[in-house]
Amino acid sequence: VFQDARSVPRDSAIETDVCVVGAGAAGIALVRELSGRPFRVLLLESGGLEEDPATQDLYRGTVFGRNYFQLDVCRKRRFGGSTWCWQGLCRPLDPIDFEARDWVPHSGWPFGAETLRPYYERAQEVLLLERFAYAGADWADPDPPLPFVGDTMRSGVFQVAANRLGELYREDVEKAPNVDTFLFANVVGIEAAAGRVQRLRVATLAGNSFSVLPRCVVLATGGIENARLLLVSGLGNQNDLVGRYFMEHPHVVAGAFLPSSAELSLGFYRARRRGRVEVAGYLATTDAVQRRERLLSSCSFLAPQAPLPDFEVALASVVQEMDRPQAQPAGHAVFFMNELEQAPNPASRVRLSEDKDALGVPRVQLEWRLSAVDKISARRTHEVLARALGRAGLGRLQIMLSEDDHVWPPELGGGRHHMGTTRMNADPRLGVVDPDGRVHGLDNLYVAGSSVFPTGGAANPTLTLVALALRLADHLVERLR
Amino acid sequence: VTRRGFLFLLAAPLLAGAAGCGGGRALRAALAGFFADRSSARVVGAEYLRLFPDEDDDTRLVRRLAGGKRRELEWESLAVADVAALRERVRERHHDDFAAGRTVDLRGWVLSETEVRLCALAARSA
Repeated sequence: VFQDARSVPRDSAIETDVCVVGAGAAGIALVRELSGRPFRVLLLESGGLEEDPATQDLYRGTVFGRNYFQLDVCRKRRFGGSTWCWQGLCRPLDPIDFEARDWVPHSGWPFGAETLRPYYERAQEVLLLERFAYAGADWADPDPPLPFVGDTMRSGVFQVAANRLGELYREDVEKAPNVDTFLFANVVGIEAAAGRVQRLRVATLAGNSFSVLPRCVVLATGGIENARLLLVSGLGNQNDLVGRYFMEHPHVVAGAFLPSSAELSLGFYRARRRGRVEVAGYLATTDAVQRRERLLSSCSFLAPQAPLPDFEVALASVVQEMDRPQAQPAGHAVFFMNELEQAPNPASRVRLSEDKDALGVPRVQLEWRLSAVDKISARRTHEVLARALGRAGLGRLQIMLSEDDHVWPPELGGGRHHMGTTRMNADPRLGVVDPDGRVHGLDNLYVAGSSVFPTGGAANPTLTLVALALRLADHLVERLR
Repeated sequence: VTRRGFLFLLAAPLLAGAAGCGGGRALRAALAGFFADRSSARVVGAEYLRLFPDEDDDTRLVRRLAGGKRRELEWESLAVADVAALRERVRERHHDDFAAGRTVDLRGWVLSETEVRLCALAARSA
């Protein structure tokens, strides 16, 4: 049942078994799994069914460090969350992304890819994707991936399903017999005592406020807001970790690819319809070369083509004669857009500001910081790619990254992927939440979403955060049995 | 070393002797004329020589292209006896350059040493 929180009587208290805060991809996936279970679920959503400027303004904050999107345009604060504005790019993290890699500071998940595999497969269904298959060979017909030589590069695919979960699952949630959904309900504080959350303080922009008395709470408000709520409430931060390790996927056009001939097919790397999704290929370094060269994860998409300046016209002819003597020279270059893994960095962080929003909650300050590790890896990754393309006679790469370890192209941006601010680790000194997603030191407070990612790989986070939400749902069902 | 390559190694001194000084000229000419589109090769080669002026020398370029005196002798023989095989060897070395990290940064493009030196020879023969 959907209810308008603005009509809840002032100072009332609502008891529930599970309170899920936030109806985005994680919250909706979680609630659907809890639907029909023998316990009560309360879903609190800050927004309504449509976008509302006053609600959206609750996201507003300030940004330091690297240039970044305005925080109130990165996310959608309404039922369905940011699936209202996502591109729908899905792929799982690679197995190596879960590992503690000695060349990536603070890396390592408390479990491996195999633990998440069954939840990934279930997440495929939630997001209406095709089968759980992401290797290049799985989608090679009719356009095969580029035939590299040796073990340095591989091709894979994203499955693209830009489903709006607020639209897709509204009826499921609304009709779930054990689920009550309150729209326009903003959690403004979490009160805990004796190692348990006792009460959530909820307020609306209409002026009323009330309490929720839950047995368990799941924060699913996004990679910045999860940290904000914990910081505001003074919870989970006994080791000064909440808000730190903010990670994005740096996006940068860092290479131009000159194919060795006009006939070289790049169709695998262009979006194409397959069943109920589109698939789009990407290039990435293999696990083997990441270990050998001490690289972070990355993936490269084809970006728009570019006409060739005079020097490159001449170079295209030279390359064609070297590699494809019977073919025609390429008439254009293709840019590579790179989605890069960011190494966890405690100086990259979310903090509270002295400014407050309309509900009196401190706004956030985001300080997005990249480190030398990120730049060195990006540059080296492109060198590896350039050599692999040349060795296989596929073409040449122009690297558009300087050799300065701290200087990035000014147009570098993020993917609006907010990760790491409540990182997961079995050791409370190293993580905010434990491997179940439970906040260390609090028996009944959980966090869902990409804020728990210890590392973010180079895969868009939605598929993984939905898989984690399904895993958390199983845990809660077991706990509340 | 392939069987064919092995036989060539055995035969190279004989062929080089037969070719005499003409082998060096033939090799230089074959490499300088590697590209059918010479004007494009000269554009790339001129840029390479601008950045690496110490390579503005035919003898040095040929020696470095071959990667050593022994292979240079073999290539001289091929330049006389089998230009198609020579071109194949050059292409093999070009692809090996990428695997071995023998690359050059030209305006940000990562190119093999072989291809840019071939271009440089073409530029010098203009």
